[in-house]
Amino acid sequence: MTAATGAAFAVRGSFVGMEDDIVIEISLLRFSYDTFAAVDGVDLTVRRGEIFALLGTNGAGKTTTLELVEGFRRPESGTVRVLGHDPARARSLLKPRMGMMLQHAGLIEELSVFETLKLWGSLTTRSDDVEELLDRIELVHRRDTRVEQLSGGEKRRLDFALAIYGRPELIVLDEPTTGLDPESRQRLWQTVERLRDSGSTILLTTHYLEEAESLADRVAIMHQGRISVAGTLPEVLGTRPSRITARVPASALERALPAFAGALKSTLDDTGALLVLETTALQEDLGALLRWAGDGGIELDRLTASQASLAEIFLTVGANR
Amino acid sequence: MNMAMRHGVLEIRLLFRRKTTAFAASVLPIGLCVLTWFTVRNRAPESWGSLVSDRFVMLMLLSVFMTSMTVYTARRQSLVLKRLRTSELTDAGVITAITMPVVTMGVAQVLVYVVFCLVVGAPMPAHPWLLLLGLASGLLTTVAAGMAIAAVSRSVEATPVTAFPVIVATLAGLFMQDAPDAAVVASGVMLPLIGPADLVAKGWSGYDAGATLTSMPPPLLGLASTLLWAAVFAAVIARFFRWEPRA
Repeated sequence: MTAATGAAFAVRGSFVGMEDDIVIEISLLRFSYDTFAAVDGVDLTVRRGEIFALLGTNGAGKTTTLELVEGFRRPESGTVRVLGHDPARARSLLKPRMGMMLQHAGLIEELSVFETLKLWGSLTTRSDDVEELLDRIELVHRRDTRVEQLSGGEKRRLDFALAIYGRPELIVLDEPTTGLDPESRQRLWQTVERLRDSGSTILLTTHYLEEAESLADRVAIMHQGRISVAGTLPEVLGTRPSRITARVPASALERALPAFAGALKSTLDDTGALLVLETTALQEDLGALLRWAGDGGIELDRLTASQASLAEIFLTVGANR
Repeated sequence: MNMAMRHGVLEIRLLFRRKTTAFAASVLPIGLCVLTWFTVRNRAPESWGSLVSDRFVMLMLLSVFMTSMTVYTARRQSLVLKRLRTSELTDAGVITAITMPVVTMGVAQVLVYVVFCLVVGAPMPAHPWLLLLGLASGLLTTVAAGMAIAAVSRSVEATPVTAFPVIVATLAGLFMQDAPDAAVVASGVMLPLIGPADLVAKGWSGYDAGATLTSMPPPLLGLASTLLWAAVFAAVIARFFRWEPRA
């Protein structure tokens, strides 16, 4: 596991003080529903100006962790600091600086889309251009439609607009793209990236691994209330070996295979022709294999070389029950 | 205007978008006025106190209590309360905003009824301050009763069952006010929402109206009952109120 706490290195490459850099700091956090430990010793740090994705299976503890960050629940033990405050005690100080999107919308069904945004504008000290916001969430044509008449995806987009109203300093999004069509998801990702680029810090949960891969500066995978792995995407991907496979002609095996620098495991299948190499030094070992084949005039059939995917790591974490 | 007030005003506007609530809110006071019109003839001036207090309890129970209970339960069930807590409204602000339409509706209904009574010949109240105290405390206690029952109800569908004890106890207290035995009448005052009604009766028709006990000054029994039930409902709210549906 790559510790989320680390050197004070801000996103986009500038060194800043450690305290200024950290927006959310969670330490040894525990929370239970009766006897079920939903959050069981979580350590996590989210830095200023980054998109942090919290992944995990259903019931892994993601939403509870977010609700502890939002101040809706008090930790059983451990600490949560958000923008330097205890969120359960200083909600009134934090709310002007935070935007939140819950797992379920909780919108007032009798209001229209426009009225909902106007209402939200009256309930915050932040300001925003409602018409521009409508355009950003692609609901201009549904401006005067009542919330109860919106589709699930449209409600989700409206809910997202409330969370980002006035570009808050910290935005917490619980499964923001659930129920959205692929195009809307792409648009939402772009908006999230723009918010990050304009200085907001974003903590989100998602079931979509490609969302985390393309959006997040750092990710953490939760399982059974704990963080199983966390770090930047390369760091997380680096926790599992890369893989090289190739079909080698049987005659070529008379020549000894080269020494692989990062090989953890190399196997040949029953026919002795399929090479499967798991390595921590993908580039180096691939080079060695290609040189070996080139020198011997050997043709490698169906050669593949791939880094571990987030999906693979996610499934591995889930399998280690 | 602060955030809670702004949201409260919007909630009042929303009241008129819910057809069933708007219908009940308008039909009930009109119905009570019609009922009073038919029963008012040949009434002695001193009997107006008990008449108005009876109708006041019906109004509180059938309109304010039911609406308050439904609004809190429905808003919690649909996660609106939780969502509002993510805004910059304080928790007290969320409750104020949600409560405003119920209180406004109650005040409007009581005003309509009181003015109607005066127009059709009721004498001027004997103790306006006591009448006002009875009406205000009755309204607030009823809102609190609705919130308390919402706190112990899992869903809107469950409220007819959870509200049953309050409805039965209030109606029993109301019927007990017509009993010939003074002790029974006084016991009835100790049931929910009847304390404020006793204050209303005495405020309108003087201290001889409503329950009379020789052992204590006239308005004290109604006042004690009002405070007792306000404390009971407050305790239930403090113990059981949740911002989101129970798991």
